[in-house]
Amino acid sequence: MSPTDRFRELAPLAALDALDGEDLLDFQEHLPGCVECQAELAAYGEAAGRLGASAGSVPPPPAVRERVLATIGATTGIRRATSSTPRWWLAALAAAAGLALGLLSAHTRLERMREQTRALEREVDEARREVAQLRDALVEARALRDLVARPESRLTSLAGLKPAPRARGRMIWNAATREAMLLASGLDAAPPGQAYEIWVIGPSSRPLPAGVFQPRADGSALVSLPRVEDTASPRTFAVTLEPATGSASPTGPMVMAGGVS
Amino acid sequence: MPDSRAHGLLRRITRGEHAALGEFYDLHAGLAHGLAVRILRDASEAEDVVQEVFVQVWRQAGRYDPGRGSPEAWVCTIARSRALDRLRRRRSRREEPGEALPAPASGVVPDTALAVRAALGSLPDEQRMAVELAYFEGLTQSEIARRLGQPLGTVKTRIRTGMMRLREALT
Repeated sequence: MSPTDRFRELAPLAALDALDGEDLLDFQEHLPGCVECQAELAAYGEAAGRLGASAGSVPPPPAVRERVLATIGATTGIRRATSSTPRWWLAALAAAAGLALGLLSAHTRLERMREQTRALEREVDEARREVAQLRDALVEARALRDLVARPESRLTSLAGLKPAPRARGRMIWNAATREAMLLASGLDAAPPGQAYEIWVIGPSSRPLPAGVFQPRADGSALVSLPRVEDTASPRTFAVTLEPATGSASPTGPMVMAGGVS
Repeated sequence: MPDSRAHGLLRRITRGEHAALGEFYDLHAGLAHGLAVRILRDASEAEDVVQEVFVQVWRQAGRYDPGRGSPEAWVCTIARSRALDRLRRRRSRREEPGEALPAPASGVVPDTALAVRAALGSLPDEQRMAVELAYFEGLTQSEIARRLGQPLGTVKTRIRTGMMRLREALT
């Protein structure tokens, strides 16, 4: 591949701001001196610009339009009004401008208070969400403690496989009650529309689906498995990437697995 | 395409006509908002982005260069970049989106959007997904490779081929 070809091939990626590393540095260095690549970049840029429209049109609430117009009105409205006004109007205008400024500052204060109210409302919502999350976490943690406390519960480690080498997992399971919980870490966020699915493989060698989950933002997860028949005598526990609704048998790449010794 | 009207409005905005910005807003706010919602999945953040976009249009209308793309593409570029800034900030704080929003498919779908959706839909899944991760999630080629568990070279080829087809279909 000639150097020019290489750069021309980088243009579509550059138009999406997707270049990084050496490619980005090389392309940035090459671009200013190459009319051909500039034209390519512009053409791909137009195509990329149109991608935004695929999201569809969602009208914002009317208040947003008012905020926009208030913001731009506040920066230029008065300057424009005074540009070519006859002299005899000046006194009246000064009075009007004073009034306008008063109104404007009242309006600004009101806007600021509204902004603060909105910010507070957002904080309350956030706190509520946090409480709900903590409550869920507490329920899970108690379940885990109870399961670990039972003398017949056993532990099986799951190692990260090629698609997720950093992933680690521990399955705590109880053959008598068929309860099981997975503690995992080092998982990447699942690609859009996908989720992780847990599988229990017992004597039949047919993987039984045992729950779909999304890891938390820090890559960890604590999942209670449904009671699956084969948890009575499991041979292997595994995790694969599947469509977000889950699959009946594994279709995606295996990210973690561990055999029962 | 309302481009010629939008061009006229941008010229009037450059001269400082407030009403022109109002009209320009009415033409493009849904587009900017739809895109911000799709990227951020958060109602209040998406509204803030719309506000930032049109204040930026007001301040920078003079910098708009018709030779470099349609007004619609320009609005999308600004909205995407503002929304991705927020998404990256959120990622660096590891926050979840706030108020959950319905999938963007619920928005009104103008003809232009249908054409773009059709073009995207005609791509093989792996190309479409790679292009969408770059455009809507602001991921770079290496980040996409990591996310998809694919070699970097494969991901670059997918994005390049996908973009070549989109360029053919859309421009």
